[in-house]
Amino acid sequence: MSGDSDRIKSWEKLLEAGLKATEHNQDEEAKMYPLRKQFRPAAPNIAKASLKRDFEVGLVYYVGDDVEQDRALCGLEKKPPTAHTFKEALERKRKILEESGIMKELGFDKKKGYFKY
Amino acid sequence: MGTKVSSGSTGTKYGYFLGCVMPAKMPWAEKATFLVSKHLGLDFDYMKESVCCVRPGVWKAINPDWWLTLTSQNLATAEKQNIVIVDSCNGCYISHWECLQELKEDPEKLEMVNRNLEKAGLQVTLSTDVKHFLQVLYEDVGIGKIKANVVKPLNIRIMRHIGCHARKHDERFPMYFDEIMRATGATIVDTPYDKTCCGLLLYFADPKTSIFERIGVKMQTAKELDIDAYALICSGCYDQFERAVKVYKDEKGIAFETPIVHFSELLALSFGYKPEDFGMMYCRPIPPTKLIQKLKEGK
Amino acid sequence: MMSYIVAPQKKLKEPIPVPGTKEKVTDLVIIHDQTKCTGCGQCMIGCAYKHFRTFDRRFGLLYVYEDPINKGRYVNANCSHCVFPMCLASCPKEAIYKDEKGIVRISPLLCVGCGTCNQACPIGIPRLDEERKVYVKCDFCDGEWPMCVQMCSSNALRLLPRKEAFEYVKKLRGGK
Repeated sequence: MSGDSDRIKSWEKLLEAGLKATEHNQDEEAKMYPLRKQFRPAAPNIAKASLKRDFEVGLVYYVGDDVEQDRALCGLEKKPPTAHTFKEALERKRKILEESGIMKELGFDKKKGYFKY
Repeated sequence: MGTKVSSGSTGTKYGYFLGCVMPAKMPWAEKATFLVSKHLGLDFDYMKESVCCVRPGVWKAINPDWWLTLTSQNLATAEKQNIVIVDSCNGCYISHWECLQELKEDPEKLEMVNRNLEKAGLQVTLSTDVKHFLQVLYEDVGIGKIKANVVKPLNIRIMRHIGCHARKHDERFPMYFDEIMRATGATIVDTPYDKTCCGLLLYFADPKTSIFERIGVKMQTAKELDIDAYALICSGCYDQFERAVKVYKDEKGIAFETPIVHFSELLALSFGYKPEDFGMMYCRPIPPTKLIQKLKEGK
Repeated sequence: MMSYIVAPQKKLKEPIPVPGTKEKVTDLVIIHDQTKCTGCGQCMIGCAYKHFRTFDRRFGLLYVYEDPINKGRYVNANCSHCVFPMCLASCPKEAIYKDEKGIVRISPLLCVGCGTCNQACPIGIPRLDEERKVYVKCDFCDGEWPMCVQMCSSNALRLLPRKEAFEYVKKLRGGK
């Protein structure tokens, strides 16, 4: 199956979220600076949204109010005993990301919460 | 509830690694896994303070050293808690297992990883072990004990999806899966698409193939064969199944009716637990109403 | 079950001993086990990222697609770094060479993008890099542990010495 009718909106949304998490959107900037050559950043646009969540939460999915409710229905604690509950695990992860230079090479600004490119 | 057949714990302290998908999207599987393992008398608890295993599909491609560093945070945490990591997600399992193997083989990498972890006050000494949930059930508990605990054989037809990473070693894990599922009384229906990947790994790169040519054909086959449930073990695969089913339902107007269930749910049902015990009917794209009805009627 | 298992080779920089002999080889090939492949596409994604920094699998330098005849099975095409490479023989600019590790490479400085190598190769492996307008092909990740083999989720791709690989493929095909 292929063609325009097979567009997958949820995938496009994920890509958009990735572009939103980028400070310098190269497609946008190309209008202003048409001679500037575009390059591929270390973190591909499509992966940015989940990488960002990973850096901010410690895991790829959030546990919000609705998830907490579902968990309670299934007879579980509202918050799972992962980095969602133990913030010190997240702090350690962030420190590792920071100190081993991963954040810098991926161009992720943890204060502003977006990728440079 | 079923009668417990001898407690006989294996003496190992297991720490169940939840991962990203299970706590957020499949709480029923989490509950069922704990019901089953406690029923079988295992010393089973959560692995606390866990972070993302870091998906090998993304991170290994970006930089294998980064993948090693980030994955070993979990290994170091497990060592501190003195537990054996148990994963039921194949991705998490392979990430942890391969990381452990690579660090064992390569002292240079171990040094590099420890250098990075030191700053966060952690250290890897390679004293922990990583096991798949199937391995714990089949090798540590034993198929005989599982069979002895089955009090309510399930008279249903299932299709199964075991997942790519579970095939990494040899045909061991798929065999464990089949044997345990047969022990519950379920009939496994073989199809040509059993081995096919769920498409999660391809989703970033090629969403059309990943959704239509992977899950699409699988669910279509399930519909044609009129099976009762699609059983899987990997939470990563479930994530993709759910995503694809939603895409089909919301964007293409095609509603599939085969419920996607977790391996431990079927095990819990066969052990005599009721669907309400682990919230089987909540938070699913395809509610297993028909399946529950069929089990209640005991047809 | 396949009992013919050779430990994975991680580095190509040094010659690798052939099991059971005193011989050492640098001549390695990637082989694809159709019975294990699940079609996850990780090999192509890993290759595409390693060489082109994108997850778009079309950029990959090896190809795994669904078998058009046997549904649910996957076929693969990757460079075998032939002993007598047809691409090398056909190149009008002598841009293709076989280096000391046995890797067949295309020099991007000499390639003019004529496409003769693609025509000469029995399975049409070299492809045009649209950005640089030169032909590109598998370079065994420059002698490191190839990314496709590293990324393979079901261990369907293996890196073996040529002789072993030949035997392995023979067994996979039922001794033919």
